Amino acid sequence: MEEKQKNNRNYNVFFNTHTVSGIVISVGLFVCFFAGSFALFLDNINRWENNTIKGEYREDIDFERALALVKADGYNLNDRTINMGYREGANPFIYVSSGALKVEADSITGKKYSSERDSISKSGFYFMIGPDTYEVRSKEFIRDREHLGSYLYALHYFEPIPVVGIYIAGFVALFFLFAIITGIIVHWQKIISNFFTFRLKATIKNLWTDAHTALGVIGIPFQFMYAVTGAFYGLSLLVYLPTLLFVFDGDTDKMISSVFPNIINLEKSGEQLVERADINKLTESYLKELDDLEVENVFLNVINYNNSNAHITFTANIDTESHFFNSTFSIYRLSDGTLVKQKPLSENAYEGSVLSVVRNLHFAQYGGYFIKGIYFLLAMITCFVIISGVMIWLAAREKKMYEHRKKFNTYVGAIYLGLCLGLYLAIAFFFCLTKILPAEMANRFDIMTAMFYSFWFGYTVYAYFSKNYFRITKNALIAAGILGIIIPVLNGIHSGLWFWKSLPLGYMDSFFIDVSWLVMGVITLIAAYKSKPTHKKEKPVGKEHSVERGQKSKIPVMSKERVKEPILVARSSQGI
Amino acid sequence: MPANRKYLIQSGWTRFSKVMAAILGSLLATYALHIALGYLLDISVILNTSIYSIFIVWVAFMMMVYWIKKAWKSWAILALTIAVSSIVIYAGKTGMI
Repeated sequence: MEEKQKNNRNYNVFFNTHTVSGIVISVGLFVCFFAGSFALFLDNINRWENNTIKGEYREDIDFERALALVKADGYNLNDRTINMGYREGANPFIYVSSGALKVEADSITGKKYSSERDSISKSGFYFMIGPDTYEVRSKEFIRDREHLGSYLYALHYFEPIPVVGIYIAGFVALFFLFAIITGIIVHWQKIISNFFTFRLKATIKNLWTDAHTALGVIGIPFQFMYAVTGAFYGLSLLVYLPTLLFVFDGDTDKMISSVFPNIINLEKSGEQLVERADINKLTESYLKELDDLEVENVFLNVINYNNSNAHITFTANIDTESHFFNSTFSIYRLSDGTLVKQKPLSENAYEGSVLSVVRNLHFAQYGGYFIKGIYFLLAMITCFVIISGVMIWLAAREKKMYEHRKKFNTYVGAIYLGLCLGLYLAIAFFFCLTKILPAEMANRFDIMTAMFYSFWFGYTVYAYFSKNYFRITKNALIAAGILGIIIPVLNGIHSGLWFWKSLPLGYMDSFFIDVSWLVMGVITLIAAYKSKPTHKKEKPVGKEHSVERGQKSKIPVMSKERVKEPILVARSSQGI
Repeated sequence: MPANRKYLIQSGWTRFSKVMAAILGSLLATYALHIALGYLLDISVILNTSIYSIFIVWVAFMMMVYWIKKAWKSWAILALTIAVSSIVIYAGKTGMI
């Protein structure tokens, strides 16, 4: 008896923590997964928006010329660690960047930094330089967020919320991890039997519960991975800070080289580098070594610039579809260009690999469209698990004993559904906007984001006044379905890249996004028209509805075969 | 079917104490454990592992806090973890290991 009491206690405690943590993070988590599932296709969406084709890595960049531009601007390059590279994108650019110098005096000339003018020459910079004309576009980093894909990406970790946004996202991911583990514990004893249960004709609460548990179990590995990696990306500061303070005594350089083995750490020699190898020639010979591989990007890192022990590291990222571990690097001594250290593509030490595994898993960078498609589906399933979780919470409170809070609960549910389904609608609307508003408009992107948020907020307000969950869902799906079908049409009118023309012309991204929206729009409309408000209300409270464990439901369970199709409809009715 | 109230904590203070133990106490214990292991084993391996293990261990401590009925018992376990780890860290810092 005591054993049973204990089990009941554990069950109820974990059930409660699962509910509380789940409800608290629900809206945030929904935004993470929903916007994030679009952000998987960030580059595709950006190229679709700008009607461009994926660019290749440029091998003809004159880094010496870029360095000379920085020097001409009055920065003292001696002793610096300098990063250089080329960024492909809508506006490709060469970057040359360095953090502020932390030294008292120039180690080569021995001159002390003291006056006001010197403080500029030792400060940090981020030069963005045009790759064809070598004009300086900017002396500090300007984040290029003014594209639809990039904006959805930023939205998925709440960057629009100033400063704290990403930390909120990190904590949402952390509590998501807590919620999925408690969820599995609560569900453990019935994990197999309930997996094959789908009581479609029983009460609405049974329907939500079965959908929540079965789809939740299917998505567990995926969700666990995203909870951990998402928490890391949001709270990476929390990961590194204690080790930095307690083990490395605040010395960032030392710590960085143990996380990134391609960054070495050498004392400055204090002697002038008299003659050095040409960086462009070194780049050329490095790229020649990688000749048979498809190079996505190369990063250059020079340490102790102008010191006699200056070194340069080339880190290359190879295309991820053929190599899961896609990073290789070589370190050369800059004085004579001899190779000091090398990591071939096939040798992957534990240190340094963890981060690339995390990155590959989180950004689905390892299997092309197929893996991204599966990620998208699983993300949609997760969105459905989140919504159904809240629906269970609400349905469980449609009882006499919660009568006094009925009004409040109804409003919470309506606003919740308005926010979730409104996001789908607003994203579809955002896609349309990019093809409607004229390109030469002033503040075009700000207007678009303002309209996106107004639309989203507007739908939530509508939901608040409507209070009819079925209507809120159905109307959002109908509208989003129609907008989804309109998107490829608008793109065709706007750019002439109709999806039957874009593929032969080589506009893969344009074709992919158009067709995806078309399919998504059609599925959404079918789901909307198939959905019917036929569910019975929860029966009044009785003994059989309390949460003692091990109790069997009195409602007959449908067989697996008969319910195959309704599961799909129920799932897709929430947003695929 | 909200959880049965009779099994949940009623007192506001105990609840607050549990939340603090779950979030703050667990985080500190996780940190201490990781840094101590870093001194015992290889710091760069532990640092790379902590990219994912920090969150898993943190959540495991959170679960422990809610699993153990009495809040003071969970605090005691967390404090013990921190204390033992601190001794290891101290030994590591002063070069004894």
